[in-house]
Amino acid sequence: MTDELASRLDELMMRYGIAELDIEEGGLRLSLRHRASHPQAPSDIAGRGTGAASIFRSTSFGTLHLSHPASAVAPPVLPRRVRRGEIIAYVSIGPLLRPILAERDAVLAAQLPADGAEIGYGDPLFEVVETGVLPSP
Amino acid sequence: MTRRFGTVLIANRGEIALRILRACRELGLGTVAVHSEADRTLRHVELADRSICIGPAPSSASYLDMHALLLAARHSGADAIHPGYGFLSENATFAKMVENAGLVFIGPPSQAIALMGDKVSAKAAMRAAGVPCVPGSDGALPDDPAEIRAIAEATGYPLIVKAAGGGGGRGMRVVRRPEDLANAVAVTREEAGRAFGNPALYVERFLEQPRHVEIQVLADAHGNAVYLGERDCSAQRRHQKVVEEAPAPGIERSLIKTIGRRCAEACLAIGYRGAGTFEFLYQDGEFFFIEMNTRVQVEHPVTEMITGIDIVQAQLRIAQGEPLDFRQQDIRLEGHAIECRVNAEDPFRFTPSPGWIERFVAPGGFGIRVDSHLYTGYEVPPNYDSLIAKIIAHGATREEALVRMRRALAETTIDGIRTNIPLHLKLLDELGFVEGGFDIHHLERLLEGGPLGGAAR
Repeated sequence: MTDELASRLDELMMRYGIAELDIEEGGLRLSLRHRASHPQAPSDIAGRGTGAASIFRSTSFGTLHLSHPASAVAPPVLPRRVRRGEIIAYVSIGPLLRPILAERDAVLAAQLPADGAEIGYGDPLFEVVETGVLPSP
Repeated sequence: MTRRFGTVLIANRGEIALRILRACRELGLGTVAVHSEADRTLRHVELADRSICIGPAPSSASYLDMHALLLAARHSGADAIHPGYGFLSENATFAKMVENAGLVFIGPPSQAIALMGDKVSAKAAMRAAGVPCVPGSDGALPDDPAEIRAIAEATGYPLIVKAAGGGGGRGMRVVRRPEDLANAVAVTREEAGRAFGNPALYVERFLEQPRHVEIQVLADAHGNAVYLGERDCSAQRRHQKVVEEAPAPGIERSLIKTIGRRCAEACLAIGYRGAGTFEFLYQDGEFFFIEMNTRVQVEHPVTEMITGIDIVQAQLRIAQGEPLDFRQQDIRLEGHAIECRVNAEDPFRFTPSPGWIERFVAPGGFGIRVDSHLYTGYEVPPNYDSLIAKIIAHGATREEALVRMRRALAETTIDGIRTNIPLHLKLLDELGFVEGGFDIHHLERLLEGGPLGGAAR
């Protein structure tokens, strides 16, 4: 494991919007965390505005996980407030796990596809309320 | 690598993606359509066994994203990737990545793509295989005037002096007489150094009125290679083919046989596998190799129509490791086929014309084939190539194919956007086109002040 390899991995994480990477090899462990990584957001953000409902869409394709698949934690209850850059779901492709990040501060009002659904880039994931009072569960 | 596979990921869009899907279905293969956000409504996406949106509209983040394509293959269980044409179809790095991932790249081995993708190595390989190339200097011209004169004499006049780092029509001079050579070299060298920062020059024989004639080949992994005749693609605008036909009018069959055999032999010499096309300039009874396209061509249907061989199915069978099930002597050319490329563009100004298709009615009838992803209600996105349909007419003779093509174009309805069908209709009535055998500058001449230029005003 070299600095050069770590730097290259960091570059690839940025490029593909990978937020976290853990590698164990020959007794060594490398953990990279990338809070800034944020892949290009899908195009539809219609209806955005104070109090207006809109959609958070998937920035990747694969199998949807509403909580980290390695954790035993149940998916968070909706509605809930999220901050820009916060992980709101995961998408897995084989062993690769990609986080879906909130593109802005908002309230997740309703989950659209079910946990474990196959999703594509740009598919609607959550109905979102921009600001204001949390809607009733 | 060749091996049996069950599911093909189609790494392309539009008409060729649909063409590949149809070939897969007929062979009983599963299909995965990967597409961009702008292409959710493509016909092959609807028909595929599985579809995955892999990224936004820009090709760089979808159809050209090699990692995304490989991940999509892994996720969907596809064990082969068909790249179609354009995009990553001639990218040796991608082919190598597919091979390294243990998947089948439906195309030639990555080494063959790399070899033929470099103009210098491709020409060297073709010369070694006995395929004729445009005569010229091997590499940069020396400084010694006597050596330059000798190279020019060996090349033959007229010749063209070109800047090695040039392009876009700059840094080149045509020399018709030996006494003009020294001055042309001096001026071009000075200009090349100033404009491109590289004074290196080379010379090639200048062809005044060449035709574009290409040879279709198929090669399997068992040492068999055949040629499927030729196509004449001389109707071009800005190096883009507009109409293609097969066979090429007025060329002796014995010449085609000789060059075709050399192409098939060259495939064996370079370890080629799959479908490919050797592109030539043809003038005064001689062929000069330009480049090899290591993929299926847009214009492959005209060859299919006169040979009866499904080239895309052949690609799939070869990639599965099957030997060709016909020999050179089994290939018969029957009749004549013409293809018109229908583009979403203004017919005479050539500005793109994306938008909603309010109504699409395809032509039909005896001898007409339409390869298109269009349907009423489809929206042609502005992000990609403007090709929306290929209309192919087949007849017992060139005249019959032309009659059928005129009739087919006239009955085609595409409402909502502009297309180049009016240009095709005028071109098909133009005397030089009707006679056939015109050179690659013919269409440009017609458009620049000629009869077709008048149509724009």
